[in-house]
Amino acid sequence: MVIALVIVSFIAVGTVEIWRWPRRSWQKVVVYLVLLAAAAAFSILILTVDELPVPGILGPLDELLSSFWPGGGA
Amino acid sequence: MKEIVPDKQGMALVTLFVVGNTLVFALGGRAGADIWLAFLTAIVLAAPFILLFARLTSLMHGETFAAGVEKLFGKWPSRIIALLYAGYAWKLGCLVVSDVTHFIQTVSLPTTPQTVMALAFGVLVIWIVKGGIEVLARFGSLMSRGVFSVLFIAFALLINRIDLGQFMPVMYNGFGPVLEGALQLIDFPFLETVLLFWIFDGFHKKNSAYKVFVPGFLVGALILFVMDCTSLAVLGADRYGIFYFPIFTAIARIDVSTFLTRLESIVAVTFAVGSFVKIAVCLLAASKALAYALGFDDYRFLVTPLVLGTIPGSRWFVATMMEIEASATKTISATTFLYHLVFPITFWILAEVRLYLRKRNKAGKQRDI
Repeated sequence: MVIALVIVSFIAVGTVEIWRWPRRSWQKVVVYLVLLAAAAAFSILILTVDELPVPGILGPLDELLSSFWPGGGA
Repeated sequence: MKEIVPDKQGMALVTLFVVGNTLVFALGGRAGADIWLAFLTAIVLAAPFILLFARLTSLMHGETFAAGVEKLFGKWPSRIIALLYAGYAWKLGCLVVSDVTHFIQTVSLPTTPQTVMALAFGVLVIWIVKGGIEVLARFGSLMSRGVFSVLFIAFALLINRIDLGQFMPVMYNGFGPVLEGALQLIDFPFLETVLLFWIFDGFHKKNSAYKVFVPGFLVGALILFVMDCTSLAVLGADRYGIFYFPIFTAIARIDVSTFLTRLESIVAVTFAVGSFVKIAVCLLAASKALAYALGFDDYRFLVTPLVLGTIPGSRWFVATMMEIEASATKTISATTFLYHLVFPITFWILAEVRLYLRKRNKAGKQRDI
Protein backbone atom coordinates (compact mmCIF):
# COMPACT_ATOMS: atom_id res chain seq x y z
CA MET A 1 0.00 0.00 0.00
CA VAL A 2 2.76 2.43 1.01
CA ILE A 3 4.79 1.42 -2.04
CA ALA A 4 1.85 2.16 -4.32
CA LEU A 5 1.44 5.54 -2.64
CA VAL A 6 5.13 6.33 -3.20
CA ILE A 7 4.93 5.38 -6.90
CA VAL A 8 1.74 7.38 -7.47
CA SER A 9 3.24 10.40 -5.67
CA PHE A 10 6.38 10.36 -7.80
CA ILE A 11 4.35 9.98 -11.02
CA ALA A 12 2.14 12.91 -9.96
CA VAL A 13 5.13 15.12 -9.11
CA GLY A 14 6.88 14.26 -12.40
CA THR A 15 3.76 14.85 -14.52
CA VAL A 16 2.88 18.19 -12.94
CA GLU A 17 6.45 19.49 -13.03
CA ILE A 18 7.18 18.57 -16.65
CA TRP A 19 3.79 19.96 -17.69
CA ARG A 20 4.70 23.31 -16.07
CA TRP A 21 8.09 23.68 -17.81
CA PRO A 22 8.04 26.53 -20.34
CA ARG A 23 10.38 24.60 -22.71
CA ARG A 24 10.81 20.83 -22.78
CA SER A 25 14.02 19.77 -24.50
CA TRP A 26 14.17 15.98 -24.75
CA GLN A 27 17.61 15.87 -23.05
CA LYS A 28 16.28 17.60 -19.96
CA VAL A 29 13.15 15.44 -19.87
CA VAL A 30 15.21 12.23 -20.11
CA VAL A 31 17.65 13.26 -17.36
CA TYR A 32 14.78 14.43 -15.16
CA LEU A 33 12.83 11.19 -15.60
CA VAL A 34 15.91 9.02 -14.95
CA LEU A 35 16.70 10.91 -11.73
CA LEU A 36 13.08 10.86 -10.58
CA ALA A 37 12.86 7.11 -11.27
CA ALA A 38 16.10 6.61 -9.31
CA ALA A 39 14.69 8.61 -6.38
CA ALA A 40 11.47 6.55 -6.49
CA ALA A 41 13.37 3.25 -6.65
CA PHE A 42 15.61 4.38 -3.79
CA SER A 43 12.55 5.30 -1.67
CA ILE A 44 11.00 1.87 -2.30
CA LEU A 45 14.28 0.11 -1.47
CA ILE A 46 14.55 1.99 1.82
CA LEU A 47 10.98 0.96 2.65
CA THR A 48 11.38 -2.70 1.73
CA VAL A 49 14.96 -3.64 2.63
CA ASP A 50 16.09 -3.61 6.26
CA GLU A 51 19.51 -2.02 6.63
CA LEU A 52 20.29 -1.32 2.99
CA PRO A 53 24.12 -1.44 2.80
CA VAL A 54 25.92 1.87 2.22
CA PRO A 55 28.76 1.49 -0.31
CA GLY A 56 32.10 2.42 1.26
CA ILE A 57 33.96 3.82 -1.74
CA LEU A 58 36.60 5.42 0.45
CA GLY A 59 36.72 2.47 2.88
CA PRO A 60 40.48 1.72 2.71
CA LEU A 61 41.35 5.40 3.24
CA ASP A 62 38.94 5.54 6.19
CA GLU A 63 40.62 2.47 7.72
CA LEU A 64 44.03 4.11 7.31
CA LEU A 65 42.84 7.31 8.99
CA SER A 66 41.13 5.45 11.84
CA SER A 67 44.43 3.67 12.56
CA PHE A 68 45.99 7.08 13.41
CA TRP A 69 43.60 7.98 16.21
CA PRO A 70 40.42 6.51 17.76
CA GLY A 71 37.31 7.75 16.00
CA GLY A 72 39.18 8.75 12.87
CA GLY A 73 37.49 7.82 9.63
CA ALA A 74 34.02 6.41 10.35
CA MET B 1 22.13 34.45 -16.20
CA LYS B 2 24.65 35.03 -13.42
CA GLU B 3 23.29 35.63 -9.94
CA ILE B 4 25.43 38.11 -7.98
CA VAL B 5 25.21 38.11 -4.20
CA PRO B 6 26.04 41.25 -2.13
CA ASP B 7 28.96 40.77 0.26
CA LYS B 8 26.95 41.16 3.47
CA GLN B 9 24.31 38.65 2.38
CA GLY B 10 27.04 36.22 1.33
CA MET B 11 28.71 36.61 4.70
CA ALA B 12 25.43 35.94 6.55
CA LEU B 13 24.95 32.82 4.42
CA VAL B 14 28.44 31.53 5.27
CA THR B 15 27.83 32.18 8.99
CA LEU B 16 24.46 30.41 8.96
CA PHE B 17 26.02 27.52 7.02
CA VAL B 18 28.73 27.12 9.70
CA VAL B 19 26.30 27.42 12.63
CA GLY B 20 23.52 25.58 10.74
CA ASN B 21 22.89 22.11 12.07
CA THR B 22 25.95 22.02 14.33
CA LEU B 23 24.72 24.16 17.18
CA VAL B 24 23.00 21.48 19.24
CA PHE B 25 25.66 18.75 19.09
CA ALA B 26 28.47 18.17 21.58
CA LEU B 27 31.11 19.72 19.31
CA GLY B 28 34.72 19.11 20.31
CA GLY B 29 33.53 16.85 23.13
CA ARG B 30 36.75 14.81 23.09
CA ALA B 31 38.66 17.80 24.45
CA GLY B 32 36.59 17.70 27.66
CA ALA B 33 37.26 20.74 29.85
CA ASP B 34 39.74 22.04 27.27
CA ILE B 35 37.02 22.65 24.71
CA TRP B 36 37.96 26.34 24.51
CA LEU B 37 41.50 25.35 23.52
CA ALA B 38 40.13 22.87 20.97
CA PHE B 39 38.03 25.66 19.43
CA LEU B 40 40.97 28.06 19.26
CA THR B 41 43.20 25.34 17.76
CA ALA B 42 40.53 24.43 15.20
CA ILE B 43 40.01 28.06 14.20
CA VAL B 44 43.77 28.57 13.78
CA LEU B 45 44.10 25.34 11.75
CA ALA B 46 41.03 26.02 9.59
CA ALA B 47 41.73 29.73 8.93
CA PRO B 48 44.46 29.12 6.28
CA PHE B 49 42.06 26.85 4.38
CA ILE B 50 39.29 29.45 4.53
CA LEU B 51 41.79 32.00 3.16
CA LEU B 52 42.70 29.46 0.47
CA PHE B 53 39.00 29.07 -0.45
CA ALA B 54 38.68 32.87 -0.65
CA ARG B 55 41.85 33.18 -2.75
CA LEU B 56 40.67 30.48 -5.14
CA THR B 57 37.26 32.13 -5.55
CA SER B 58 39.01 35.46 -6.06
CA LEU B 59 41.26 33.97 -8.76
CA MET B 60 38.14 32.75 -10.58
CA HIS B 61 36.49 36.17 -10.39
CA GLY B 62 34.05 36.82 -13.19
CA GLU B 63 33.13 33.20 -13.81
CA THR B 64 31.49 30.32 -11.98
CA PHE B 65 33.59 27.85 -10.03
CA ALA B 66 32.76 25.11 -12.55
CA ALA B 67 34.03 27.26 -15.42
CA GLY B 68 37.21 27.99 -13.45
CA VAL B 69 37.82 24.29 -12.78
CA GLU B 70 37.28 23.60 -16.50
CA LYS B 71 40.05 26.07 -17.32
CA LEU B 72 42.39 24.24 -14.92
CA PHE B 73 41.63 20.63 -15.81
CA GLY B 74 39.88 20.63 -19.18
CA LYS B 75 36.32 19.59 -20.01
CA TRP B 76 36.00 15.94 -18.96
CA PRO B 77 38.16 15.87 -15.80
CA SER B 78 36.31 18.95 -14.53
CA ARG B 79 32.99 17.22 -15.17
CA ILE B 80 34.15 14.21 -13.14
CA ILE B 81 35.21 16.54 -10.30
CA ALA B 82 31.80 18.26 -10.46
CA LEU B 83 30.08 14.86 -10.30
CA LEU B 84 32.11 13.92 -7.20
CA TYR B 85 31.24 17.19 -5.48
CA ALA B 86 27.57 16.78 -6.47
CA GLY B 87 27.58 13.39 -4.73
CA TYR B 88 29.28 14.82 -1.67
CA ALA B 89 26.87 17.78 -1.46
CA TRP B 90 23.88 15.46 -1.82
CA LYS B 91 25.20 13.15 0.91
CA LEU B 92 25.80 16.10 3.23
CA GLY B 93 22.24 17.29 2.51
CA CYS B 94 20.92 13.84 3.47
CA LEU B 95 22.91 13.93 6.74
CA VAL B 96 21.57 17.39 7.65
CA VAL B 97 17.98 16.28 6.90
CA SER B 98 18.61 13.27 9.13
CA ASP B 99 20.05 15.49 11.92
CA VAL B 100 17.18 17.93 11.99
CA THR B 101 14.36 15.40 11.64
CA HIS B 102 15.79 13.11 14.33
CA PHE B 103 16.32 16.13 16.58
CA ILE B 104 12.67 17.20 16.21
CA GLN B 105 11.53 13.61 16.72
CA THR B 106 13.68 13.21 19.83
CA VAL B 107 12.79 16.44 21.62
CA SER B 108 9.21 17.18 20.67
CA LEU B 109 7.41 14.92 18.16
CA PRO B 110 8.29 11.32 19.09
CA THR B 111 5.31 9.71 17.33
CA THR B 112 5.57 11.66 14.06
CA PRO B 113 7.34 9.64 11.35
CA GLN B 114 10.72 11.04 10.34
CA THR B 115 9.67 10.87 6.66
CA VAL B 116 6.82 13.33 7.22
CA MET B 117 9.17 15.94 8.69
CA ALA B 118 11.74 15.30 5.96
CA LEU B 119 9.01 15.81 3.33
CA ALA B 120 7.95 19.12 4.92
CA PHE B 121 11.55 20.37 4.82
CA GLY B 122 11.94 18.97 1.29
CA VAL B 123 9.03 20.96 -0.15
CA LEU B 124 10.41 24.22 1.29
CA VAL B 125 13.93 23.40 0.11
CA ILE B 126 12.68 22.76 -3.46
CA TRP B 127 10.99 26.15 -3.37
CA ILE B 128 14.00 28.15 -2.17
CA VAL B 129 16.63 26.30 -4.26
CA LYS B 130 14.60 26.91 -7.41
CA GLY B 131 14.53 30.59 -6.39
CA GLY B 132 18.32 30.62 -6.70
CA ILE B 133 21.27 31.89 -4.69
CA GLU B 134 19.97 35.47 -4.55
CA VAL B 135 16.77 34.40 -2.80
CA LEU B 136 18.68 32.05 -0.51
CA ALA B 137 21.21 34.75 0.44
CA ARG B 138 18.45 37.27 1.16
CA PHE B 139 16.62 34.68 3.30
CA GLY B 140 19.88 33.87 5.13
CA SER B 141 20.60 37.54 5.76
CA LEU B 142 17.11 38.08 7.19
CA MET B 143 17.06 34.93 9.31
CA SER B 144 20.60 35.39 10.65
CA ARG B 145 19.44 38.47 12.59
CA GLY B 146 16.73 36.46 14.36
CA VAL B 147 18.95 33.44 14.96
CA PHE B 148 21.85 35.45 16.39
CA SER B 149 19.54 37.60 18.56
CA VAL B 150 17.97 34.50 20.11
CA LEU B 151 21.37 32.97 20.77
CA PHE B 152 22.62 36.21 22.33
CA ILE B 153 19.60 36.41 24.64
CA ALA B 154 20.04 32.75 25.62
CA PHE B 155 23.71 33.40 26.37
CA ALA B 156 22.89 36.48 28.46
CA LEU B 157 20.34 34.55 30.51
CA LEU B 158 22.82 31.72 31.10
CA ILE B 159 25.61 33.96 32.40
CA ASN B 160 24.63 33.61 36.08
CA ARG B 161 24.77 29.80 35.79
CA ILE B 162 28.27 29.68 34.32
CA ASP B 163 30.89 28.00 36.48
CA LEU B 164 34.35 28.86 35.11
CA GLY B 165 35.86 26.20 37.41
CA GLN B 166 34.54 23.63 34.90
CA PHE B 167 37.40 24.61 32.57
CA MET B 168 39.99 23.58 35.18
CA PRO B 169 42.52 21.98 35.22
CA VAL B 170 43.90 23.13 31.89
CA MET B 171 45.29 20.32 29.67
CA TYR B 172 45.20 17.74 32.47
CA ASN B 173 45.42 14.95 29.85
CA GLY B 174 47.94 16.74 27.63
CA PHE B 175 47.48 18.18 24.14
CA GLY B 176 46.15 14.94 22.54
CA PRO B 177 42.45 15.38 23.46
CA VAL B 178 42.64 19.07 22.48
CA LEU B 179 43.90 18.10 19.03
CA GLU B 180 41.21 15.43 18.67
CA GLY B 181 38.55 17.97 19.66
CA ALA B 182 40.01 20.42 17.12
CA LEU B 183 39.94 17.77 14.37
CA GLN B 184 36.30 17.05 15.22
CA LEU B 185 35.52 20.73 14.72
CA ILE B 186 37.50 20.98 11.49
CA ASP B 187 35.64 17.98 10.08
CA PHE B 188 32.22 19.23 11.17
CA PRO B 189 31.48 22.07 10.48
CA PHE B 190 34.44 24.34 9.71
CA LEU B 191 35.76 22.94 6.40
CA GLU B 192 32.34 21.96 5.09
CA THR B 193 32.34 25.57 3.81
CA VAL B 194 34.18 24.15 0.79
CA LEU B 195 30.71 23.45 -0.67
CA LEU B 196 30.03 27.17 -0.93
CA PHE B 197 32.42 27.23 -3.91
CA TRP B 198 29.69 25.72 -6.03
CA ILE B 199 26.79 27.98 -5.11
CA PHE B 200 28.19 31.47 -5.72
CA ASP B 201 28.13 32.50 -9.39
CA GLY B 202 30.16 35.61 -8.63
CA PHE B 203 30.63 38.65 -6.44
CA HIS B 204 30.66 42.39 -7.14
CA LYS B 205 34.41 42.87 -6.68
CA LYS B 206 37.49 40.71 -6.95
CA ASN B 207 38.26 40.93 -3.22
CA SER B 208 34.63 40.27 -2.23
CA ALA B 209 35.40 36.58 -1.68
CA TYR B 210 37.64 37.54 1.27
CA LYS B 211 34.87 39.75 2.71
CA VAL B 212 32.40 36.88 2.42
CA PHE B 213 34.37 33.79 3.46
CA VAL B 214 36.71 35.09 6.19
CA PRO B 215 34.32 37.19 8.37
CA GLY B 216 31.48 34.70 7.72
CA PHE B 217 33.60 31.82 8.97
CA LEU B 218 35.00 33.75 11.95
CA VAL B 219 31.58 34.97 13.12
CA GLY B 220 30.15 31.44 12.81
CA ALA B 221 33.10 29.94 14.66
CA LEU B 222 32.83 32.59 17.40
CA ILE B 223 29.11 31.87 17.90
CA LEU B 224 29.77 28.13 18.20
CA PHE B 225 32.74 28.81 20.52
CA VAL B 226 30.69 31.00 22.88
CA MET B 227 27.61 28.77 22.91
CA ASP B 228 29.49 25.48 23.35
CA CYS B 229 31.82 26.82 26.04
CA THR B 230 28.77 28.25 27.84
CA SER B 231 27.01 24.88 27.66
CA LEU B 232 30.06 23.14 29.07
CA ALA B 233 30.42 25.70 31.87
CA VAL B 234 26.75 25.25 32.79
CA LEU B 235 26.55 21.46 32.53
CA GLY B 236 30.09 20.45 33.50
CA ALA B 237 32.77 18.81 31.36
CA ASP B 238 31.65 15.24 32.13
CA ARG B 239 28.00 15.81 31.28
CA TYR B 240 28.74 17.89 28.16
CA GLY B 241 30.02 14.82 26.32
CA ILE B 242 27.19 12.56 27.55
CA PHE B 243 24.21 14.53 26.27
CA TYR B 244 23.18 14.28 22.63
CA PHE B 245 22.15 17.96 22.67
CA PRO B 246 24.11 19.68 25.47
CA ILE B 247 23.16 23.25 24.51
CA PHE B 248 19.50 22.29 24.53
CA THR B 249 19.85 20.86 28.05
CA ALA B 250 21.84 23.89 29.25
CA ILE B 251 19.25 26.37 27.97
CA ALA B 252 16.45 24.32 29.56
CA ARG B 253 17.96 25.38 32.90
CA ILE B 254 17.17 29.06 32.32
CA ASP B 255 14.61 30.08 34.91
CA VAL B 256 13.91 33.77 35.52
CA SER B 257 11.72 33.85 38.69
CA THR B 258 9.71 30.86 37.35
CA PHE B 259 8.31 33.38 34.84
CA LEU B 260 10.64 32.89 31.89
CA THR B 261 11.32 29.17 31.38
CA ARG B 262 11.37 26.51 28.62
CA LEU B 263 13.45 28.73 26.33
CA GLU B 264 14.99 25.67 24.72
CA SER B 265 12.10 25.56 22.27
CA ILE B 266 13.30 28.88 20.79
CA VAL B 267 16.77 27.45 20.35
CA ALA B 268 15.19 24.44 18.63
CA VAL B 269 13.58 26.84 16.15
CA THR B 270 16.94 28.52 15.44
CA PHE B 271 18.45 25.06 14.91
CA ALA B 272 15.68 24.22 12.44
CA VAL B 273 16.21 27.50 10.54
CA GLY B 274 20.00 26.99 10.40
CA SER B 275 19.55 23.41 9.25
CA PHE B 276 17.09 24.50 6.57
CA VAL B 277 19.63 26.98 5.17
CA LYS B 278 22.34 24.32 5.24
CA ILE B 279 20.14 21.75 3.45
CA ALA B 280 19.27 24.38 0.83
CA VAL B 281 22.96 25.25 0.29
CA CYS B 282 23.88 21.55 -0.04
CA LEU B 283 21.10 20.87 -2.54
CA LEU B 284 21.87 24.04 -4.50
CA ALA B 285 25.53 22.98 -4.71
CA ALA B 286 24.51 19.43 -5.71
CA SER B 287 22.12 20.69 -8.41
CA LYS B 288 24.62 23.17 -9.88
CA ALA B 289 27.50 20.69 -9.85
CA LEU B 290 25.36 17.92 -11.37
CA ALA B 291 23.98 20.25 -14.07
CA TYR B 292 27.55 21.19 -15.01
CA ALA B 293 28.68 17.55 -14.96
CA LEU B 294 25.84 16.59 -17.33
CA GLY B 295 26.49 19.56 -19.61
CA PHE B 296 23.42 21.71 -18.84
CA ASP B 297 23.38 25.47 -18.28
CA ASP B 298 20.27 25.45 -16.10
CA TYR B 299 20.21 23.50 -12.82
CA ARG B 300 16.61 24.11 -11.72
CA PHE B 301 15.08 21.07 -13.42
CA LEU B 302 17.37 18.81 -11.33
CA VAL B 303 16.28 20.20 -7.96
CA THR B 304 13.10 18.18 -7.39
CA PRO B 305 14.56 14.66 -7.97
CA LEU B 306 17.64 15.48 -5.89
CA VAL B 307 15.61 16.86 -2.98
CA LEU B 308 13.14 13.96 -3.08
CA GLY B 309 16.16 11.62 -3.03
CA THR B 310 17.34 13.12 0.27
CA ILE B 311 14.22 11.83 2.06
CA PRO B 312 15.16 8.13 1.73
CA GLY B 313 18.83 9.20 1.86
CA SER B 314 18.31 10.64 5.34
CA ARG B 315 17.38 7.13 6.53
CA TRP B 316 20.15 5.43 4.58
CA PHE B 317 23.43 6.98 5.72
CA VAL B 318 22.46 7.29 9.39
CA ALA B 319 19.38 5.60 10.80
CA THR B 320 19.46 6.22 14.55
CA MET B 321 20.28 9.03 16.96
CA MET B 322 23.41 7.17 18.09
CA GLU B 323 24.70 7.00 14.50
CA ILE B 324 23.97 10.71 14.03
CA GLU B 325 25.89 11.56 17.19
CA ALA B 326 28.81 9.38 16.05
CA SER B 327 28.81 11.01 12.61
CA ALA B 328 28.68 14.54 14.12
CA THR B 329 31.51 13.94 16.58
CA LYS B 330 33.95 11.90 14.46
CA THR B 331 37.42 13.22 13.74
CA ILE B 332 38.74 13.69 10.19
CA SER B 333 37.30 11.11 7.79
CA ALA B 334 38.42 10.06 4.31
CA THR B 335 35.67 12.19 2.78
CA THR B 336 36.86 15.26 4.67
CA PHE B 337 40.44 14.52 3.73
CA LEU B 338 39.64 14.38 0.01
CA TYR B 339 36.95 17.00 -0.47
CA HIS B 340 38.04 19.53 2.17
CA LEU B 341 41.83 19.31 1.86
CA VAL B 342 43.23 17.42 -1.16
CA PHE B 343 40.96 18.79 -3.90
CA PRO B 344 40.96 22.49 -2.83
CA ILE B 345 44.75 22.50 -2.35
CA THR B 346 45.20 20.93 -5.80
CA PHE B 347 42.84 23.50 -7.38
CA TRP B 348 44.71 26.34 -5.67
CA ILE B 349 48.19 25.17 -6.70
CA LEU B 350 47.08 24.71 -10.32
CA ALA B 351 45.34 28.10 -10.35
CA GLU B 352 48.46 29.86 -9.02
CA VAL B 353 50.68 28.05 -11.55
CA ARG B 354 48.32 28.97 -14.40
CA LEU B 355 48.22 32.59 -13.25
CA TYR B 356 52.03 32.69 -13.03
CA LEU B 357 52.41 31.25 -16.53
CA ARG B 358 49.86 33.67 -17.98
CA LYS B 359 51.61 36.61 -16.35
CA ARG B 360 54.98 35.48 -17.69
CA ASN B 361 53.72 34.83 -21.23
CA LYS B 362 51.82 38.08 -21.54
CA ALA B 363 54.28 40.14 -19.46
CA GLY B 364 51.28 42.06 -18.23
CA LYS B 365 49.25 42.49 -15.06
CA GLN B 366 47.07 39.40 -15.34
CA ARG B 367 45.11 39.04 -12.09
CA ASP B 368 42.87 36.03 -12.60
CA ILE B 369 43.11 32.67 -14.30
